[in-house]
Amino acid sequence: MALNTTVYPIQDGGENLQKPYRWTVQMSQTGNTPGVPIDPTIYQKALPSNPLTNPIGINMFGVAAKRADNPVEFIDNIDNIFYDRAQADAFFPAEDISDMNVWCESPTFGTGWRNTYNNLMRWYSDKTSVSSQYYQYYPYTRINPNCVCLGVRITAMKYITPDSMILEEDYATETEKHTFQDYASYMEERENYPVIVGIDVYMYLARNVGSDSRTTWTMGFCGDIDTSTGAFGRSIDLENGEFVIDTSDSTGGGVDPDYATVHTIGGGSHYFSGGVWWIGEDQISIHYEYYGLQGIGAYNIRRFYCGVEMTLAGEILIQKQPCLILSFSGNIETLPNAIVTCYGFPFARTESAVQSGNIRNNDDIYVPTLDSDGNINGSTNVPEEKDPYLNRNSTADPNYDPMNQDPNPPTSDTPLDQPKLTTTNVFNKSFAMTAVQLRGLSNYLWNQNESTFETIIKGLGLMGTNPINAIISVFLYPFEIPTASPLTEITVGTINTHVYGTPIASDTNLIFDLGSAVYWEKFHNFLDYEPYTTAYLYVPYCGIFKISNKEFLGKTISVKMVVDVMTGSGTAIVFANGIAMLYKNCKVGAQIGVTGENAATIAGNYISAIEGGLNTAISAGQSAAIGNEVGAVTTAASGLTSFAQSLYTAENVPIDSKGSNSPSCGAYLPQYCYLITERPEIIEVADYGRLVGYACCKSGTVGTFSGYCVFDNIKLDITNATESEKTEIINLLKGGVYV
Amino acid sequence: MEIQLLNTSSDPRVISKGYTSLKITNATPIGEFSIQSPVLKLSYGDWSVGNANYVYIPDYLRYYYIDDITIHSGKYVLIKCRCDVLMSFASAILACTALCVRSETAGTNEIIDRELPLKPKKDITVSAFKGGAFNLNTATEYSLNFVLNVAGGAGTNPEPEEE
Repeated sequence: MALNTTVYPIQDGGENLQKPYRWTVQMSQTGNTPGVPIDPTIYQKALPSNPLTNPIGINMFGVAAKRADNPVEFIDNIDNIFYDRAQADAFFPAEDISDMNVWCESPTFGTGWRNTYNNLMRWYSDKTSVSSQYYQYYPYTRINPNCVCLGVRITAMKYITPDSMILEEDYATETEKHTFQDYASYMEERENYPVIVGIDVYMYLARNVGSDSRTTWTMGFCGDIDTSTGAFGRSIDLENGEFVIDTSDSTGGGVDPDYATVHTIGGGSHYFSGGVWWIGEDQISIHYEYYGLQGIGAYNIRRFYCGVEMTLAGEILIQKQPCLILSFSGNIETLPNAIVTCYGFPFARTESAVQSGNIRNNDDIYVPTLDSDGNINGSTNVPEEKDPYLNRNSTADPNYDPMNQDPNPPTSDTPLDQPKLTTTNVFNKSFAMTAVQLRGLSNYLWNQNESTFETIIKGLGLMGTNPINAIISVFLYPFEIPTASPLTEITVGTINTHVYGTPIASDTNLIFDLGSAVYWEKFHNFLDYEPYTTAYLYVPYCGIFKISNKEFLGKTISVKMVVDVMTGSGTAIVFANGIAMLYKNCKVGAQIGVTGENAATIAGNYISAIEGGLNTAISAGQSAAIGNEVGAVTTAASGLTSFAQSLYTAENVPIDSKGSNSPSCGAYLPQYCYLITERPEIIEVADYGRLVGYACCKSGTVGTFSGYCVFDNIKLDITNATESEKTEIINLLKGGVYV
Repeated sequence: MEIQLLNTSSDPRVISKGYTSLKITNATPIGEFSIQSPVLKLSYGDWSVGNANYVYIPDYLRYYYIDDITIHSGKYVLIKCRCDVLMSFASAILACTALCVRSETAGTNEIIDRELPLKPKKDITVSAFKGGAFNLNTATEYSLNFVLNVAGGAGTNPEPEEE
């Protein structure tokens, strides 16, 4: 492939490269194993806006994925979604949004094609590369064959290191295709070994119009991407990671424009920084630190120790500064395959190849193919039968048919819509009052003033009953009533009280937000699930209740409460990533007795509820399963939902909670939600893997495993062993052997 | 028959063991025995290897642990052997197909590991929600936190809207 020697400046990507987007994400992987998927969150170095001396620009264009919310997602763990809806959605008709298939592997659902809704999938480039630790993150990508075109620009410079760079022999690499033995060799050879200084991603869109065969694509446009904030809602951390071009040297010297004269703001070891600063006539290089891009396939990762520092006396010291420079040894052909294996999407090497639309027969379009071990490789001219999208064969689910899709469009949220009509202020009147206003009303009604008394007597005659009976209820709520109505005189029965209140309109929004928190997934394995990790949620006036990990783990838990101001009742709705998952009824309004009879009735209701709830709680406590969790609490049975409870019941021990339990007491309890999580603590044992091993479920030949292994379901094929020997072999393998 | 006296320090559970060859000598099998547990007689001079703990018998195509050594001083040595089936059939074992249920290196965090040692006590954390509309902690007597519901009646109502 001939190298495109044109360098596209960052700010102008050309006709079809509108507003190049630069991913600024963090690299969490520090491993250096080729073929291991890159953590797609990679901080990128901003490239200088001016062409550099003897640069080599290689433009690659690939095809990436789209789902309803975002065209492309690079996510560092399966339960975190950071991206907002992309503007590019407008380009795709509804049928594209509903037809989303990815081939991928899900830790929950296994391998095979799945609808992307709520199934967070990922590509593996090396499925046997797993960690014996339980804390490894697996990066992944959502893939959709009805795709977005993703342009990747890789700008390689022939050399960016300053002349004073000293190379050490201590390289941290996996494989070396070329080694600079010493500085002199490097100086001789460096022009032949371009160094990748960054990978920029250009987003533009194409739509598959060739149905399932993905042979025809229509080029679209590059969405209106805000490069200052990051495309698709991905913000760029301007303070800590974004690279800027500094044409002035704060230390007083000038900057050589022929070098990557850039610096980081804030620095930090996760960012690729490098460059040459001049101080007067002396040259100082800052160290290159970069944890990114190690995983791109066959590329050599070299760690150079370099750096020159000036002392106060003007002496030049050679300092070792760790740095990583991604370089490739001249085989540009391997780069697309590396991209494909790591990111898992078809990759076109030229813009024209993408525009041709035919991914089936194009030498410049790499399509990922999947082998029986789940390894992904990139190949051109891939026939349909080897296209993973069209290939229905899956070791985990051979009968899965990607054409058999759920016809129901997925729902990404269940918002609460404020009703336009409620029971408020229809037949009766509701007023939002302050304590001062209420006192004023009470003073008026119980006023011993003769004229007021006569007015009340007159009203008694007109109404036929004590006008105070026109007062239905008075409640104290733990929130301000959101009403903007003008003050209105309150009429009780037929009596104008000359006391003013703020009417509550029928369409007053009585949905209250009680905040949110993320249910953090700590272990990223089975320990995050019940019974190992349990979680409880406290909602004001609802108490504490258990929540299910499978519904809430790793998601943002938010709570809203809908209140009926006429009755004081409320319903708390618990959301998981915007989907309502739990509903809890409660009593949130503290009712205030208006008359003696009224107050006695109210108190009696509360006491009855307490006693009834207590009996239920005791029964529940005694019959509760005996477990070894300590301190778990739940609310009482749902039969008490008509009267709010703050009873707490230990799972093993019944609680005696005689006493006031009105919402007025609830007002003293925390007025905010909180999440209680109980997580296990692992006992760290040295050499645990070597002695006991970790749970595993992988089939294969015994020789493909290593270290301590325990086997089962052994298919033994030994021709010259006796039966007793075979039995012994099987028993030994089942008991654990060292391979 | 010819035997190889060996020394191995490998764990018995190692499939392909490493060993040090000490001596190739002759031995005579004694009596009737299972091929898995032969008893061999060596001349005292042939034995002269104090640290032999492993034997390979080419005639049997098997490796053996030396379970016991009986020395008739100056005369002969009897060694009781026990077949090391893992080493004897290592190639075939490594080529067989099996399901690995525990592994030092291939473990996956997707499988429930009931043998993972956990402390009896749990780490309990409490996370307060951010945000929230309740204001009782900051409300004043001028806050609109009260609701008065009155039957029927009306205050000063606005003019009805035209349809």
